[in-house]
Amino acid sequence: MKVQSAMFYFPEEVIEHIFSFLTHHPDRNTVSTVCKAWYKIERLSRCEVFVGNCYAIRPDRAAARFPGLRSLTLKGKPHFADFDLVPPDWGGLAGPWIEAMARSCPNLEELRMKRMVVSDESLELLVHAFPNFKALVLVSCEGFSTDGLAAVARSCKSLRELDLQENEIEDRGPRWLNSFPDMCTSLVSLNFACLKGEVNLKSLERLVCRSPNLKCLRLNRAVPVETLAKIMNQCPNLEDLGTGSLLADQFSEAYVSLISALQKCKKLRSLSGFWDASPLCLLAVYPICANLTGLNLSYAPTVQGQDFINLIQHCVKLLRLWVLDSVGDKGLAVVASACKELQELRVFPSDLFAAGPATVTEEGLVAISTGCPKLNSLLYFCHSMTNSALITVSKNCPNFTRFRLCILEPRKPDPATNEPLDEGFGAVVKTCKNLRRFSISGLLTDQVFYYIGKYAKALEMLSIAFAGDTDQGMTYVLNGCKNLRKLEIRDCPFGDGALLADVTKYETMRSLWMSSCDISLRGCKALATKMPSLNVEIINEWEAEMEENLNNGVAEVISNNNNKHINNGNDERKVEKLYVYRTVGGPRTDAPDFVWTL
Amino acid sequence: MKTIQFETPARQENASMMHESVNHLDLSLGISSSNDACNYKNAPKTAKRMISFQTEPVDASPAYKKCVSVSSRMAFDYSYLFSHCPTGFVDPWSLAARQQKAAAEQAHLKANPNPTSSKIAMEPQQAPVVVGWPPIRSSRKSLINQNLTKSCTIDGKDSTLKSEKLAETKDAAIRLELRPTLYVKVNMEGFSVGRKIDLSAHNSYESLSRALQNMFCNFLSNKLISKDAHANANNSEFILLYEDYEGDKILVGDVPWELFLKSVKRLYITRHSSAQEKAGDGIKDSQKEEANHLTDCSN
Repeated sequence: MKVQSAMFYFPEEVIEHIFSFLTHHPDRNTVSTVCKAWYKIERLSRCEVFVGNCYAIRPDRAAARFPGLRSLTLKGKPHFADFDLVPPDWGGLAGPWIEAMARSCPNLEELRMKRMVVSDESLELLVHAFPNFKALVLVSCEGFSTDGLAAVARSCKSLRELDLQENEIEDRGPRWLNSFPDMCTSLVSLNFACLKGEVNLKSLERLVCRSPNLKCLRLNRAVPVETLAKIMNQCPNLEDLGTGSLLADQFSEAYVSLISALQKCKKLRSLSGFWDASPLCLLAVYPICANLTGLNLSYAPTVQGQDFINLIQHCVKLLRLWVLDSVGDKGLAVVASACKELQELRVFPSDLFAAGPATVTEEGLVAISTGCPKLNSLLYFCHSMTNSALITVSKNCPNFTRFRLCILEPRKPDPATNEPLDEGFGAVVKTCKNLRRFSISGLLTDQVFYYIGKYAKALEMLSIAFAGDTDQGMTYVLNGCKNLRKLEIRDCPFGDGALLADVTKYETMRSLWMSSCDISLRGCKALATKMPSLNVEIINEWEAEMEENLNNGVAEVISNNNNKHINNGNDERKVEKLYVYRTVGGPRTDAPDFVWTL
Repeated sequence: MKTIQFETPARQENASMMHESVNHLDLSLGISSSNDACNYKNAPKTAKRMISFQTEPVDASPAYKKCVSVSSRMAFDYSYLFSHCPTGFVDPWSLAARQQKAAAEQAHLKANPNPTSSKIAMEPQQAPVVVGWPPIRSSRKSLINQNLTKSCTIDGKDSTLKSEKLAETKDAAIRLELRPTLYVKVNMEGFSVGRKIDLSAHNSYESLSRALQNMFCNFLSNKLISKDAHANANNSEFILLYEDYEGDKILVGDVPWELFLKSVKRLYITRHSSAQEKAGDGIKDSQKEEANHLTDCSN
């Protein structure tokens, strides 16, 4: 008793100091729930906030709670938006967040956003509202153009990091690079690899020249070898390089200077880009391969066969490898023999149709698992997989935390036995106790979900497509996976029974996505009624187009009264897309016409 | 190797059923296809365009009339359209209809193979028309498309005859579902309302020109342009310009098609005479003076 109350006699500064050692978000969240005093101390001293679903809380409330915020991470659209399953204009707007932060959190220095819609105006506001702004990281975002980048470049006095990964950026010309002021020398990380257009090469060279702290530089395809060589000569301390187009003649000056420049970069650990790479330019890379820990060849279909083998043999310290399946099982076998430290492997498809001679099969995966026992993260696209291969892989590599296997043909069985792949995936969950992320494919029955529910106790994210037989499948998962945070399902025969099996479960999860399943409006309404703390959103795309056409053509104005349509009587109608997430912000105010919140 | 259908049985059934009526909807769905250029002439205008341009549909097809009448009914009862696997009427603008159209186009291609694809001796591959599958980002998908186009056009070191044939079927199939779209605005001089056209659905200037002519013949039904394609080709009344990312207006046709696709942002159709006037603004003063000087001299 006495010990407990002793804490209250500590001055606030001491408690704050103690909290400063807590950097893990869940810990800080827990601590803030102890008592009012701790809540207040924690919120005023909090520097970093992670919001996994931007609609889980209103921006104003988040900004007001943490006035001292320095770093904010936001995620918007559901994961399946990457594969065009979420209609455009769905939401995920960054504007309200930036405005809220501008009002309440003047100390903001870093903003990281994933799958959000950011406008040029928001970017303008961002750089003008926060004098200390240092780092902008945008992943899979859209809605802005190179003009917005120009605004960021122009107005940020001490910009350290501008990292653009896989965004859709409207190209309004190469002038944005000129916008970095001459006195900007603070750049540490610049990544514009996703830009499709031209860049001003002279400006790029000048910018690199005056950035002595540059550690990470990722160029886009428009940057030729000549410029790359010049840049490499300027920054020998580079640790992470994304090349531009690697097309060069053997006897060209550019090629020769590239070789000498690369040799000077003793600290280079990570390489990516390799667009249009000619075998010759690959030769230039050999001298630095021995120190590489990360290599991304997934945008280089020209690197295959013997070229790839020659390159990868030297990369003995490799931890992370991303390739295309054109390297084939043969290439993967060489990886297995050379890269003993490998922890992460991603194999992307280069060919979506028939399996040619040079794509990967289960043999390649087995070889990797035999040679690289430290493998813990896998993303593997292939045309077929067998149960025995999966069982072997899980025996060899029990340390998987992320295991994503995508068999390109939906519902494809084990070709050797013609059976479903339940046992193979079941073996993975049985042996890999630390599995946090799992994606499954191929022919699968309810049995695989039984295994997942029973063994995958650490599982946090599960992606399912074209799998299962009955509602029982989904129920196994909901009942068994205690740590499940995100569940995304498409084209599975799960219906209302599965959806409503355990409604309180959704409050413990971040979100649930179900598309092209067997759920009806009745089921969704029931869920919404039982669980007011969830937003149950239905997406109807045709609805929006129909309304648009009608508004233009026919004289009557269709009122945007969703209730009229929802309560139209027929609740047995099937719901095409469902997105359920927990929130304290209530139904969202920016939902477009085709999103109905029940 | 056994080919496995990806579509659910209900959808496939509808695909064949909808094939006929889907053809009437080519224009309204906005999917331009060089194979179906002739359909543009017969395609009905949608309700939207009908109101905007105040023209009466001269030969509105029964399918179109049905659409309009049903749509006014739809104002009060959306039950038809809600169904995920409809067996009855499918809203022509729905996502499902577009997918079915893609499937129908695929079937159409197989039914009427052009000479190149008839060379394909191997087992025809059923192109998967599943939206969002496989789960890879669009940036990677476009890389795959580029790769396949290259293997089609260039005799690469590794290309065998089989892979070339594979690439041809893939090329056709990719156009339908997996290609990245490149919609640009098209504005005709004198009309405040423009159109949008998908450039990636075309592979040459001829195809683009035909599509544009068909698209805009409605604008000029009471003027000089006739629906006859041949007349249009020789007609020098209108010229086609494009605007690149730097904002400059350039005459279409100078650069190779692929390069054109990379730099084009918008299209303009202007009259020949006024384009010459505008061209005059672009000419440097010295050149202008020189031109005037020459004219004066000749007088």
